[in-house]
Amino acid sequence: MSEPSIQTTDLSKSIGWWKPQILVDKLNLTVGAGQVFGLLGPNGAGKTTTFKMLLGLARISSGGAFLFGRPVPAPASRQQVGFLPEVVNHPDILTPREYLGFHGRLMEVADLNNRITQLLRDFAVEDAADRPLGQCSKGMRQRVDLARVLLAEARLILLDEPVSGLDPLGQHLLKELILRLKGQGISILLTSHAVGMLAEVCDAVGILHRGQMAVQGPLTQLLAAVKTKIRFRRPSEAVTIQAPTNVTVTCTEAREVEWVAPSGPEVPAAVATIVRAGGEILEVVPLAETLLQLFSRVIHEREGPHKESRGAPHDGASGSGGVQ
Amino acid sequence: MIRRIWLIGWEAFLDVARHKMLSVHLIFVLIAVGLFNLFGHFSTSPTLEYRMIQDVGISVISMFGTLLTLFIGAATLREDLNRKTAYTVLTLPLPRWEFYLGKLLGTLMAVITNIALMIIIFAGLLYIKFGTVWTAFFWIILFMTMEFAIISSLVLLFSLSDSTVLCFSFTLFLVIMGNLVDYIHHLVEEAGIPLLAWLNDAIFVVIPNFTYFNIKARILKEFAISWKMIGWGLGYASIYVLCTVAVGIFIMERSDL
Repeated sequence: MSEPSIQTTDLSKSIGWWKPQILVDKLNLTVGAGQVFGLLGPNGAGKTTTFKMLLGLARISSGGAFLFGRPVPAPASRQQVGFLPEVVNHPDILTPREYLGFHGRLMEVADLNNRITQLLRDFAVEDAADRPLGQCSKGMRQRVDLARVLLAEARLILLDEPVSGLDPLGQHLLKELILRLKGQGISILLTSHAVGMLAEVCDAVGILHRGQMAVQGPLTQLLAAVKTKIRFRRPSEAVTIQAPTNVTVTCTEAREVEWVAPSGPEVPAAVATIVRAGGEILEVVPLAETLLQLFSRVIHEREGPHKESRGAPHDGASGSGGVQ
Repeated sequence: MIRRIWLIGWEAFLDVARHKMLSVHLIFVLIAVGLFNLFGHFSTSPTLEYRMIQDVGISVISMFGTLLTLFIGAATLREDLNRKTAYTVLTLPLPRWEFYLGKLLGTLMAVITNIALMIIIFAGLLYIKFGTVWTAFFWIILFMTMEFAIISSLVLLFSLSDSTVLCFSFTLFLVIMGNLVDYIHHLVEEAGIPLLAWLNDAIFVVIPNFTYFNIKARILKEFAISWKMIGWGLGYASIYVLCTVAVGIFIMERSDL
């Protein structure tokens, strides 16, 4: 079995020695080779701090992290790792070609000029190659930075809020790029409030809440049906069928009634109750959650419904994290 | 390793050059030298005029050089960290100390280029006016370079504090104190309090002693510059810069960026 691209064990970060504030609390995370892992969480959940620790920008308070088996923060651990920060402040005076050239020379990229030309073409910034970055649009600069990330043959890419500030076309291109990179076996760890896009590109997700990993796992497993909808017709409007415990009545229209039961033994028991009372089963449908629903539910469960909207993800795109 | 430090340094130098920081200050120097040249007309003899221009010119270069070193040093590292432009380099597989040394190199290159340009312009003006080239320029460049190397290393060290204002203020404070070393020593001696003398000695191990590099007065009075002075100045500057850089790297390696 190949080495995981990212492996953390009880990774923690706290700041302040007088009254320590825990930013990341015993995070255990594994991102396999070629996997796309989405990290979700409200603002201040610890996503950016996790990125910073993995990249050696912030010190690890306790626990450990490994990139391709190499311990963080040793510089060697960042070999073949690309990073796209949420806010990219380029040196405005540099042109995309100069900017990429500087990073390429630092990384000792072979055949640099051709590589830069190729990447500028791939990211449709060839026309602006010799224009100062300060005169380029935000989307264009973000594409230049994506090109920077791909300059060296990265095997792991960390994207912090990559859709932030991108127009719909840019978001679509980004999604396609992520899927293309995934196809090439490149591992990606990304954070985003754009849950819709995460659901489309991620193999696995984790939901961070106040520095702790609330839920994580393969997307298919996390979004598996947790409830089942049972729609039936009563013998007559005068007949009331009592719903068993754990089963909620969600809709009643004339003779037709809709129940929602937790997937499991409650479903056959509810169906039996209906049939015994002379009801006619119309449909039994497993209800899968969307990623947004999963996120909302998890945050509801952990801190109550009134606080859930703080920096919460949305189905669309854009929006900024603003963590730390 | 050397190549990466050079690349970071060269890029920092180009960044300073691109922001026209050098040309802005050179214009200031040109204006200042022009004004002092004008004042020279009021002197009673050509020798006195020559000395006045020399004296004022070198002082202006020294003052502008110090300010420029502070601005360049603060902009090179602190601004890079504030704007997070440093992230793209610091997340590459290179140790932080290479980045730090690269920034120091870039600052030094920008500062030395600036001093050299100012002195060349000043020498040119003197030559045009008096038809003679001042041979002491080499020594002034050398000693100013040593002084500005210390200031550069200090400003980079204080760049690791959280704000540009703090960085600027701390360095300026040390520069002022460093130029007053002799005066403060004299005051302490006059006070005759042993504890104060001990405290003074302890503090001035940390605060740079810029009087070692103050050869302007000697040159202006046409005193000879001895090899001992040069050796002592070079040794002191090298050790001070090395210690400051070591502390800077130690702090940077342990900082959250």
